[in-house]
Amino acid sequence: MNLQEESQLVAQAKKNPDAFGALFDHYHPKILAYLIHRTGNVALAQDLSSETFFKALSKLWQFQFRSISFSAWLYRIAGNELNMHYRGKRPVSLDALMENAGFDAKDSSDLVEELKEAEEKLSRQKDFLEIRKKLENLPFIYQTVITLRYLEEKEIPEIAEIVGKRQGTVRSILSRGLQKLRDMQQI
Amino acid sequence: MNKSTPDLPLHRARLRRALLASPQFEGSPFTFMKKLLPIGLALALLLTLNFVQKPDSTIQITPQASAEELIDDVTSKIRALSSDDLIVLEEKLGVPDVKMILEEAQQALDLRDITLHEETVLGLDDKEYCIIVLENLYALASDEPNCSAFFKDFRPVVFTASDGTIFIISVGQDLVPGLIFSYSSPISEDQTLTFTFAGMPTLSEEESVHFGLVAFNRDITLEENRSFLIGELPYMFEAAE
Repeated sequence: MNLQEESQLVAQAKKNPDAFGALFDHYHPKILAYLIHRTGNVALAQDLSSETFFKALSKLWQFQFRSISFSAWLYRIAGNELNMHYRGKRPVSLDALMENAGFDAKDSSDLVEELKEAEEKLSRQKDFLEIRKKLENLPFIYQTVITLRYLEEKEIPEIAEIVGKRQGTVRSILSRGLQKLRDMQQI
Repeated sequence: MNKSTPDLPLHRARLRRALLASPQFEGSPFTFMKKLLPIGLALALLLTLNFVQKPDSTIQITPQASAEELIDDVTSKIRALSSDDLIVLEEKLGVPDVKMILEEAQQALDLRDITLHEETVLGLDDKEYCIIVLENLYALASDEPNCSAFFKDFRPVVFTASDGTIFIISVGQDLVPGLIFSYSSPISEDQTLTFTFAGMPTLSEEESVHFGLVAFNRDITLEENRSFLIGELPYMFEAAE
């Protein structure tokens, strides 16, 4: 989706649920993947992604393409939800979010099964889990930038937009973060 | 390395249904203003009860102002302080060499992490953000040790240079100058800084207000739960020239 298409969809999504649905379809897989990369925990990533999109929806009417693209805004929301989780705030499950919104949150064995399979698949990715464990020892900003660069394969300008820093700063963070990881390997 | 992540199509479908049928979709500016009203009223009440009314010192909000420019501005002001003023400042801060710390700060600017209450920045309207920062600034200006959660790790120190410039500097737990604010208008140290907010405020001609925000972290580990928000400061306050 290019910036113009995104901009048009966002404008429509403020009034039209179908347009928001299109945005959701496009971004949810990416945001979920990002949160799984950050947390290494599918269930947690699932809850955080639900909170991310509910928050995005509730703030959507305020969003304007002023200093940040919609995509970067979503990643920022996801990062902030993650940050709040690390600060001790427990993410609300989709069941609870649905109940708050007045829906019947039915327990589905298919959903439980889906989650279980996803967790098993993730647990088989030993390399990724090892890298993630090392990343955990870095300050939050380093984790964010390194994950966005190497796991989400974002370019520097987009990372700068997401984290709200200059591109030079992002390069410095990346370089220092990688050095810290190398230092960890040598210990 | 395999970076692919498992997918959750059933969960996605369920979340999609919930979102598209959510009553939050009906959000409107009117709804937002109603939400803003209690915050505005609370602030007005706070100011009325706790402050002597001063001529309006209002702040113009300009999103274009950059943190770097403001930090550079405040830093150069501190560097320009007389040696006597520097000594006093250093005593107040409890650090031996303010200039050296600021040099480090300049070098560290690229890696600055800015502590900010996360809920104040995400998707907020300018006015709501302004109100929240004003509330926190009031707490600093009154040298109140029990600041809001925003500044809970920092101890504010109010310092007046001989030319009348007021600095409100927060010292972090590592005794490093953390948040630095300067108020350029000549004002006595015991005078209350009053900020009013009504509609779209404009800055009076006599006064200029500069705010700079820098927080220096020193190898903070996750275990210490000192996670900082990622350089999140979309709006800074800039003086009207």
